[in-house]
Amino acid sequence: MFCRSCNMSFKAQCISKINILRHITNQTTGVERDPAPVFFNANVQQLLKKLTRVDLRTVFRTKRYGVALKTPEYKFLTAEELNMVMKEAQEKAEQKLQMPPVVKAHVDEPEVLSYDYELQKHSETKFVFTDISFGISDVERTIVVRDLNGVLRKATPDERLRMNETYFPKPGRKIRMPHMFEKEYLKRLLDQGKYEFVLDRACLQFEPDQPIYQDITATTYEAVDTARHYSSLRSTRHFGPFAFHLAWNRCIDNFLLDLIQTDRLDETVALIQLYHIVNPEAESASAKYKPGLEHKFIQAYVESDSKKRSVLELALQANVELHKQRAETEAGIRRAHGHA
Amino acid sequence: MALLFYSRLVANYCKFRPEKDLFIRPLTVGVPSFCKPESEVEVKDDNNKKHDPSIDSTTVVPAETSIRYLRSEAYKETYGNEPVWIQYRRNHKGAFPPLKTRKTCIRGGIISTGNPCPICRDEYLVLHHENVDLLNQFISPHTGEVFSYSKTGLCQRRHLELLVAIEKAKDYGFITFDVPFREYDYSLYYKL
Repeated sequence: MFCRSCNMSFKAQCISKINILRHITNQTTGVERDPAPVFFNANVQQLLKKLTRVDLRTVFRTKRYGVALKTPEYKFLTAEELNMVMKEAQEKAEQKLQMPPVVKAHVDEPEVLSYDYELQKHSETKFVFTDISFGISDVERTIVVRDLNGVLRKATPDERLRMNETYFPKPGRKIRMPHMFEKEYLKRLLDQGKYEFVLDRACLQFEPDQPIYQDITATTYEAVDTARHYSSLRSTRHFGPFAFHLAWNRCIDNFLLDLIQTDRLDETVALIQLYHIVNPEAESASAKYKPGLEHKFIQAYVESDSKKRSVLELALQANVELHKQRAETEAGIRRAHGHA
Repeated sequence: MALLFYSRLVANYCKFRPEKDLFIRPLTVGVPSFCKPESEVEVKDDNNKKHDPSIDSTTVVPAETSIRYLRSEAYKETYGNEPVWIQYRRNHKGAFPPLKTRKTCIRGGIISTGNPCPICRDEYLVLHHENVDLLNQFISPHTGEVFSYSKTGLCQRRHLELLVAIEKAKDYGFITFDVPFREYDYSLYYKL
């Protein structure tokens, strides 16, 4: 009996170790290091918010939740009152643009609480015990499982999600995964350009540390980047994690090109700074940004770390020319008006 | 015949056993048949009976056909640019219609009512989760809610079919909608 219990506990530990190894070997680049400390860094959060480009019209657009709409309210305000209201609107917009956390995928390795092999074959089904006391969050709730072989262990993350949804259902979240997250239907939605819908629903349905959530978000971000539909996600809560994902996987070139071509130099600089923080081992990481010398800073990145060097250099050159022309025109206008 | 009658009458009243005491000539009684001979009878076979095509609802139209129908000339001519339920009006006495529409328009494979509902009256309107053009006609563009049967005039059975089709379409991603906002508590994911 003692030998058998030893053997079974050894087997359980082996299985868990094999699972860890399998997860490590299946990992794609960038998942080995934990993105959470980098993502929640204050500087990184500031840069991501800058890249998101808060547009109040997009943030506060009418959302149709299946409830009767409220009629619009018109008010007469003084200048001070208007400033106060605008400040409140900015704060509300920040709340609405809260970024979904970017964390490492969880490993399926539940902690065993006790080995009671004398209980095996007492039942044909597993038992799941959930603590439904009020005031505990879904993540901290105690959920344990009595397996068929008598082992009492903590529940796996998937089992936890299922029990949390059973006892504390969230509006809009389903127990069974919606079919739209399956490959063919997901591809169909992404081809139609419904990126925000997919990401919003994924946020609601899954937890940020689930492998399937990370797959879906990665697929969506790649689709956005390939199609260059940055405006569909801009001013939404998903733009921050999207930009972080690009920087983490070192493929910011398409995005950089888009920013240069639309003459957003401050955001270009922010993106390159983000890249340097996320990838400190990059060649151009040592280059320091000085206000007024944006082109030089961008050039340093383009020369050393970019994969689309020629295209970016062309675009940068065109932008330099544009700024030169603008400066000349302004100087001409000043001279015409009689200023120095 | 008279003998038979007499013997039976006696048997009933005297309660003696005629087979022992009284010999009764065996008689066969012929019952006159008022039915037609079998060869002349038409067999009523309800299963094979063909109804008037205007009320026959047995043919099942595939969803793909319905999707093509909604883009066709015939549909445009019939309904124009409006939803299919807009022109429909229920028949009832009084100013206020009954709170619930009828249970179903189709019974036994045929339209069993006058004035069937907008979906039952047109066999090419199929409520399927892929038939997005049709389903969107029953969703409010302002609030995103599904219109009630009191507004659209659908019978109860079709209204339930509509709700199921819309739920499925949302599940498969054929219909998009605004998802409720999820707030995250960052402290649960990363201890700063």
